[in-house]
Amino acid sequence: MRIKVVGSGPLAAQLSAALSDRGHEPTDSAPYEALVFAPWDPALMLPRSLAELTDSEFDLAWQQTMDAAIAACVEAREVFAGAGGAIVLTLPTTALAGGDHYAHWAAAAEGIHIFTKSLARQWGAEGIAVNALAVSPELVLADAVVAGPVSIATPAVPDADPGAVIEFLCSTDARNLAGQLLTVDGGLWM
Amino acid sequence: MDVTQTLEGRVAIVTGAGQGVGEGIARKLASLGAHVVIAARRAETGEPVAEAIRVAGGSAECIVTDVTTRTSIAACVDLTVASRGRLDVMVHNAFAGGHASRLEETPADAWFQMSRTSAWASFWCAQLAYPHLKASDQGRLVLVTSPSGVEGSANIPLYSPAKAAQRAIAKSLAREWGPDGICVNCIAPVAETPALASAFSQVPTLRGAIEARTPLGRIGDPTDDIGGVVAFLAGPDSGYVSGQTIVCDGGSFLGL
Repeated sequence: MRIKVVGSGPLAAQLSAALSDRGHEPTDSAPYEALVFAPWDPALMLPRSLAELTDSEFDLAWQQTMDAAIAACVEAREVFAGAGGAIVLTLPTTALAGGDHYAHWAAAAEGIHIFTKSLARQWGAEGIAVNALAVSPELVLADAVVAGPVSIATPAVPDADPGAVIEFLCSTDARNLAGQLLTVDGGLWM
Repeated sequence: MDVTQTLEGRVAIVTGAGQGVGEGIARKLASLGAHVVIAARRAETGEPVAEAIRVAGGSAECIVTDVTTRTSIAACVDLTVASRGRLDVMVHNAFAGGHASRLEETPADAWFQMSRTSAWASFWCAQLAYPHLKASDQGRLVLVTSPSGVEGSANIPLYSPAKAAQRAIAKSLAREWGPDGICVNCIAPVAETPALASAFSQVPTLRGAIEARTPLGRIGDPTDDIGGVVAFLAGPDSGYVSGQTIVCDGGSFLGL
């Protein structure tokens, strides 16, 4: 399966490698049968108190992330050309838990989460399965410690690997899922 | 307890208070003793609300505010603090741009308006109010989101992420501002408003769909059903509630 992976950070690289290891062909151009949106990059996802947050920093986090997601999804629908397909939008669990000094990136991540549901509702009848994958903040934030703990628990599944889950969400086996969020963070966010 | 004294001495700004949910919130906060700034985009809508509150014995003023610009919100906050000496409660409710459409057909201007009036304005309202909320012994930030910000929307697909962003901002600021004693929360209302009436006109089946799944069998009143919940979040009894979204929709959404 040809799968477009959007993103230049380590999460996109990890997911691309996992898909490649499983016999798929990650690509950055059409045609493709599935889209994985993984723009999160620790080099960009810096902590900032809201009091000190600049408009350009909020633009980078919230506006540019959402604009990129909209553009990528609209393009994917065109590429699928009525034949159906899969869209998987990724996000850190900071979307769900919030993050100290990370309001800007949490806004983007939760925006992506709920965008997933809107798209699933609107495009599901076209055979496009739109779902989301949440990962640990440690994979994408520049400083997950500053953001604060997602849970007081210890990981139930240490070193949880999202590879198999991203493959499933891209596959035709997941076409009956719509707007769902699967979280692979070792069980910290429940 | 004399509940009419609950917000006595407090100063609150309510954006988008010229009509609808914002007006209901403003009326309720004023009825409980707060001085309320009606931060409305147009004086034609804001001034009558402020006048009605004053006629009813409350304290209110209208400051024309365009929440799509930082400078306008800053002017509103500055004027409020200059005239009243404090700001205890910031309620960001204003919103614009939501019209039913397919995602691929949504005009860029509509997305700009939704993004500006929800996520951006929440950022600006929070940042500009922060030093005053911190100085208050009862600082409160309330962001008005929507059940669609939790569930997604097939009718207005970009409305949902715009509203979802507010919930994440609230959670993040609950963490960040907790040490300052500031509580940050969201409400997600469904109420009889001009905005909902517009949605009903665009999607004729929407009213029936909402009423059919609402256990309480009616759509909320902006003052009595929504304003009272915001008054709780603005008052002393909610001092241990932060980072939450209270869905005020008659029990329609039961997913939390």
